[in-house]
Amino acid sequence: MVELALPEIESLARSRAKIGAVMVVGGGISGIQASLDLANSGFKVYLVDEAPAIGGKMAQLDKTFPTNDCSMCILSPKLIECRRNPNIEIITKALVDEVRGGAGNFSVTLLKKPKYVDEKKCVGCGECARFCVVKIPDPFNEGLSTAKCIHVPFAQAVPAASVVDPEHCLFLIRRECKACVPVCKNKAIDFNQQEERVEIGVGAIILSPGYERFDPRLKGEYGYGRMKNVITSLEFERMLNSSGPDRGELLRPSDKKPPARIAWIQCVGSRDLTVGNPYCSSVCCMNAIKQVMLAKEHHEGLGAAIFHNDIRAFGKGFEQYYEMAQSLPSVRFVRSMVSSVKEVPQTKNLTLSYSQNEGKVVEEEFDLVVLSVGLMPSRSATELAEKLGFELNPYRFCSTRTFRPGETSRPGIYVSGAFQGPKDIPESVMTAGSAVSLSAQLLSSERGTLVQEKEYLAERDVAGEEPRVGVFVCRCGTNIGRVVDVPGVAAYSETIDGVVHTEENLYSCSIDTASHICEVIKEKRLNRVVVAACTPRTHELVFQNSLREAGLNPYLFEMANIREHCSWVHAREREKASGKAEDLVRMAVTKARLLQPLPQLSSPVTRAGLIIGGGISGMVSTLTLAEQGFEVYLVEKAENLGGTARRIRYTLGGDDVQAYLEDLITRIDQHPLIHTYTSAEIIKVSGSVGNFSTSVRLEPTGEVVEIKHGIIIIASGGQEYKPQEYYYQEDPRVLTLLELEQRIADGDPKVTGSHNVVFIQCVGSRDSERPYCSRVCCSHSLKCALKLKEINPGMNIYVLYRDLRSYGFMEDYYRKAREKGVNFIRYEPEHKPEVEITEAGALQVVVTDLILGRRLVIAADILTLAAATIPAGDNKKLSRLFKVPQNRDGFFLEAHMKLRPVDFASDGIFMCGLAHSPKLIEESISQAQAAATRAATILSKPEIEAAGTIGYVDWDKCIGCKICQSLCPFEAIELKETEQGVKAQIIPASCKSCGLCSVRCPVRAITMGYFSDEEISAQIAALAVS
Amino acid sequence: MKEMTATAEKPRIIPNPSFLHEVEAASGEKVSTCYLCQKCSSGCPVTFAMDILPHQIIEMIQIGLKDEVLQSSTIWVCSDCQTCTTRCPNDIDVAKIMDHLRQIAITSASKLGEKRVPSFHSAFLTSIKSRGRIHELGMLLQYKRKSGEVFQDLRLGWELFKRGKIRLLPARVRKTREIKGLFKKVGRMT
Repeated sequence: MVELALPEIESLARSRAKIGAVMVVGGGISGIQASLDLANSGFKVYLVDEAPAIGGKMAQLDKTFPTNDCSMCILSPKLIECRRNPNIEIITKALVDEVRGGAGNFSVTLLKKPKYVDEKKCVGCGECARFCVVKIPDPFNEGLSTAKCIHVPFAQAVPAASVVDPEHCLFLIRRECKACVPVCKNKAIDFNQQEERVEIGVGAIILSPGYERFDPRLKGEYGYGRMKNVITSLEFERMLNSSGPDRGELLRPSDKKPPARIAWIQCVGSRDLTVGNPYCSSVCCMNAIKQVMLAKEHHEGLGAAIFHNDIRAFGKGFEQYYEMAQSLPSVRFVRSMVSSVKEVPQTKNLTLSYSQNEGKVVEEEFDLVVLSVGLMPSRSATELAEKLGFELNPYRFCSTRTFRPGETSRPGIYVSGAFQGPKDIPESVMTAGSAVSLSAQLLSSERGTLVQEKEYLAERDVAGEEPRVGVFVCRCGTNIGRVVDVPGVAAYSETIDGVVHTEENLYSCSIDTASHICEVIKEKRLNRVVVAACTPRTHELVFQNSLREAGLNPYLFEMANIREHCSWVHAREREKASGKAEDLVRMAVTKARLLQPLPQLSSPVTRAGLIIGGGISGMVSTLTLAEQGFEVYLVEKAENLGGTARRIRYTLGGDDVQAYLEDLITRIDQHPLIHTYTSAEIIKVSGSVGNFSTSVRLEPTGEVVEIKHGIIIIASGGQEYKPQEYYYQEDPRVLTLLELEQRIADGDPKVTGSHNVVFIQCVGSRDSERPYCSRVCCSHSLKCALKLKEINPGMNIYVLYRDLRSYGFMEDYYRKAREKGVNFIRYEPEHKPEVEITEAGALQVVVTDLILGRRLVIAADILTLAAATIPAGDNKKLSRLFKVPQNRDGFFLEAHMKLRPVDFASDGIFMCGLAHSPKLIEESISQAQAAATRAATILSKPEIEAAGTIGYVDWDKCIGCKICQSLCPFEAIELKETEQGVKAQIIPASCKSCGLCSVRCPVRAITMGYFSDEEISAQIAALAVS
Repeated sequence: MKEMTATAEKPRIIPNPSFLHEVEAASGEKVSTCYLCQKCSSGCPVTFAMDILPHQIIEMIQIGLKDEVLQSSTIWVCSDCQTCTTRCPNDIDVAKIMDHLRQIAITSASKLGEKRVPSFHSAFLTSIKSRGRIHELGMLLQYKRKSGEVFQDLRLGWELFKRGKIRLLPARVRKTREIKGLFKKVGRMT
C-alpha cells in the first residue's frame, strides 16, 4: 500500500491544498468505470470495496440485456485493467469510517477488516481451500452451492487472493484446525491479522456502493424460504451460469430436474406501498425478459409465463428485445399479478392462481417460480450517509437534484450507480462518468500530480529467433470444457510445429492466469503466444498486455476462438467440436509463427474539443470540458442555444427548466475557453482521434472557419414527432405534449379551463415504423396531468396508455396522479383509441376498457398526443460526415450497449443526450458529463497511442497510382513526392485497418500489419493439413 | 360474466367520476390509486361465485358504472376475509370498499344482485335486535320467508334439530333494551 503517510496528509490538510486523488467507494461496474476513467485522466484512485473482491452484482449476472453478452466476459477485462493500472489502488474488505476535511481535501479513515491472508503473497492457487474442512454456502452463488471457508471469491476475482470467512473458520471461532496454514506455499495465511484503520488523503469521493436485493421473505405469500422451488432472480441468474451451482445446467433446487414450466413474478418488493418500496426498480422487467430468453436457450421446449403489471422496456433497444421474447413459442406475458404461491407437497411443484379479464380466476402449475426481487439501497451506504452527513431520499437512496444528478448534498462527495436510484449497467456506467467529471472539475488543477506512468519491460528483440510458441487453452469454466476436450486439444497443440509450451486454464482471463502467462513467457523464452479461448473483441487487449508486461511486442499474439466459433455452436457434437478446436489452434499457431513485431505508434493530441449541438447535453459537455481547462468549440445549427429544452417549462419534480437553460447559456457565454458558433453548419471533417480538423460554415455570412480539435462529442439532439393521426393539425383541440406544456405554462384558459382532457400515449412509438419506446412520454404526460389538476382540480383527465413506464422514483408521480383522480385506461395496439368529431363538432375518443371489455366514449375538450421522440433530422448527414453509425431507429449507435454507452466505435468520437436515444433531462446531463469524461481521458494526455495494425506501403513496389487514396474511407492515405516518384503514405492515426487499400493495390505494395497475405494464407492453408 | 364477451352489442359508456367520489367519501379509501394489478382477484377465494371480479368492480367504480356495481352479486359474495386488503400493493382496503358498497346498495340500489345474502344478514340482525342472541329457528324461518327458499336444506335442518342444535324456544340476554339502544345508535338495518 502506498497511501500518503500521515504527516503528509496533515501537512496537506493544513495547507488546504487540493489533492489530485479520488476515493471510489464501491467496486461494482459503476465504481470500476469511475476508477478507470479517473486513472486514465490523471488522477490517483483508491477503489474501496466492502466485499473481498471487486466486480459487484454484475459479476454474478449470467448474461446482460439486450445483447445477451456474457456478463463476466465483458466485466473481467475491466477487473484486470483496474488491477494493472498503477494509479488504481484496490482496497477490499474495507469500510469508510470517518471523513474529515472538505471538497478538494478530505482525510478518509478506512476500517480494513482482516482477510487472514496476505494479499501480496497469495497467488490465488486455491491449495488452502483443498485442505480446508469447513464448507460454507458460497456467497458468489447466492448460497446455492458450497465453498470452503477459505477460498478465492470467484475464478476471475480481483484481487485473486483467498479470504477467510471469520464466522465459520474453526480456528477463529474455537482455536482449532489451521489446516490451511502449512499447505500454503507462499506462507500467505496469517491469523494474526487485525482490524486496521488507514487514513488516506483524497480531493474528492465518489460513492458507488450499489444496491441490495429486496428480501422476499417479507412477502410471505410467495413462499420464498419455505418452498424450495421458489427462488430469487439473482439465484436464477447463478443457476443459468456455467460457474453456477449446477455448472450451467438449468436444474430446479428440489430434485435437480430440468424445469419445464417456469413462472416469473414481477414487482416483488417494488411498486409496493406495504413494504415501504413504492418506487419501481427499473431493471426487473428487462431482467426477467432476458432470463426467459436464456432459459429457452437451455431448454427449447420450456414454457414461460411472466406475471406482471406493465412491462417497462423503456431503454435503448429494450422494446425490440421485449418483442423478440414475445414471439418465442410458449412464452406468455400475463398482465395479472399473482396473489400467492402454493406448493404441491408430493411434487414440490407450485400452483399459482391469476385472474383474467374474462372474469375467471385460473390455477396453473409450474415447476419453478422466479421472484423478480426489487432493488434497495445498500445498508452500509445509508449508514455512511448518516456518518458523512449527506442527504438521502425517502427511500434511503442518495438524494440528488435534477440538474445536478451526480452530486450529494455535501460538496466534494459525488454519487454514481444504483445508489442514485435503481438503474441498469449502461446507466451505472454513464453516472460513473458524471461523477468523474465533477471530481475532475473540482481537482483539475491537481491533474497529473499523483499519478505515475505504467512502466513496461524493455521490448525483447525476437528478430532471428526461431518461433517458440506457447499455447494456452482455456476451459472458460464449463463453457468450452463441457463440449471441447480441452486436455486433448492441449496435448495436440504440443505436436504443432514451433510449439514449445502448452497448458490448459480454467479461465485464461483471470488475473492470476494473465500474470502466469507473463511468467511463462519469461521462463520459457516464448516469442509467440496463442490463447485458445473466446473472442479477441473482448479479450485481445487483456492478453496483449500480458505480452507487454513480459517484454514481448503485443502483436506477437494470436487468439483462436474455440468458444463462439466452436463449443457454443457445436454443443451437441462434442467429438467434432474437439476436432474443430484442434484445427482452429493449428491455424492460429501457423499464423502466429509468421507474426512480426509492429510499432506502437503515437501522435500528439490537440487539446481542444468540438461539441456538436447546443442543447442541454451539448452545453453541459461543453462546460464540463471547459471547466477542466480544455478549449471547447460549440457548434449549433440554430440561431440560439437551448435545443428541445426551450420547449420544456418544468420537470416532473417542478424544477424550472428555462432558468436552468439561461444559467447554462450565461456560463457558456462568459467562459473564456468556450467558442460558440450558432447558425453554423459542419461541412467537412478530417483527421482522427487526437487530431481532427472540421470546417464550419457560418450563416448568414457564409464564412467558413476551420477548427482543430482532438475529440468530438455529438449531441445533435432529437425532436418531437409530428403525428399524422388523430386529427393533429386538423383540429385545434389536438395538441402534442410539448404544445400542451407550453399552453399550460402560458395559462391558456382553453386548456386550463377544460372540463375533460384526454391523453393518448405511444403516438408514433412502439409501432411498426418506430418500434422503440420513447421513454419520456409517460412521465411527461404525468407531469402535464398533475399540473392541470393543480390548476383545476375538478378537471377530468383520462390517460390512455399501453404500459405506464414511470420507472424509478417517477412511480411516485404516477401514484400521485391517481390519487388526484387522473383516470388511466389501458389499450392495446390492435385496438387503438379512435378519435371522432360529432355532428355537433365535439371531439370524442372511443376506447375499449380492457378490464371490462366495454367501449368507453370520452368527450375531449383537449386531446393530447404523447408523440414519439425522434432523431434529429441531420443525424444522417452527421453520420456520413463523421463516419459513425446510426441504429435502425436513426439514433447514433454506441460502441457497446452495456459498457461503452457514450463511445462510438471510432476512437475520439462520443455521443450524449437525445442523439443517443430518448431520455429525460437529468439523464441527458449525466450522459453529457460522461461523454466529457471519456473525452478528457484523451485530452488530458499529451500523446495518443494508435494501433500498429495499419497498412504499410512498400515504396519499392508502389507506382503512385492513387487508387488506394481514392478508396480510403478515412482519408488516411496521402501521396508524397519522393525521389522515386509519387508514393502513397499511410497516416497512422487515421488508418482504421479496414484493408481496402491492400486488396485493391494493383502491385500489392500495401501490407496490413498483423493481417499480411502471407499470414492469412498460411492460416488458411493450415486448415487443409491435419 | 358471459355477457362481457359480447363487447360490440353493449352500449358505449360515458365515464363519470361521481360514483367514484361517492364511494371514496363513504369508505375513506382512495379507490383511484388502484393500478389494476388484479392481485385482489387472483387471491380472492370466492371468485367462483362472483359475477364480476373484484378488480373489475374497482374499475367500474372509477368509470362510474354505479348500477352494475350495486346490482352485482360480487359485493354480497365477498366474505370479508381481507386477503385482497392484506395483499394490495397500493394499500387499498378492498374489503372495506365492498362493505360500503353493500351499504350503498341496500339504501339506493333498485334491485340487488344477490337476495339471499342480504336476507340472511337481515334475519340474523333482526334476531339479535329482539333478544340480544341468535334464535336459530326463528332466524331460519324469517330467512326462509324473506328468501322464498322454503324447502331448501330441510334435511340438513332435521339433522341439526336431531342433534339439539336448533332450539325451539329462544334465549335472551337480560338487558335487551341496551341492545336496542345500540341498534338505534348505529341507525341501520331494521
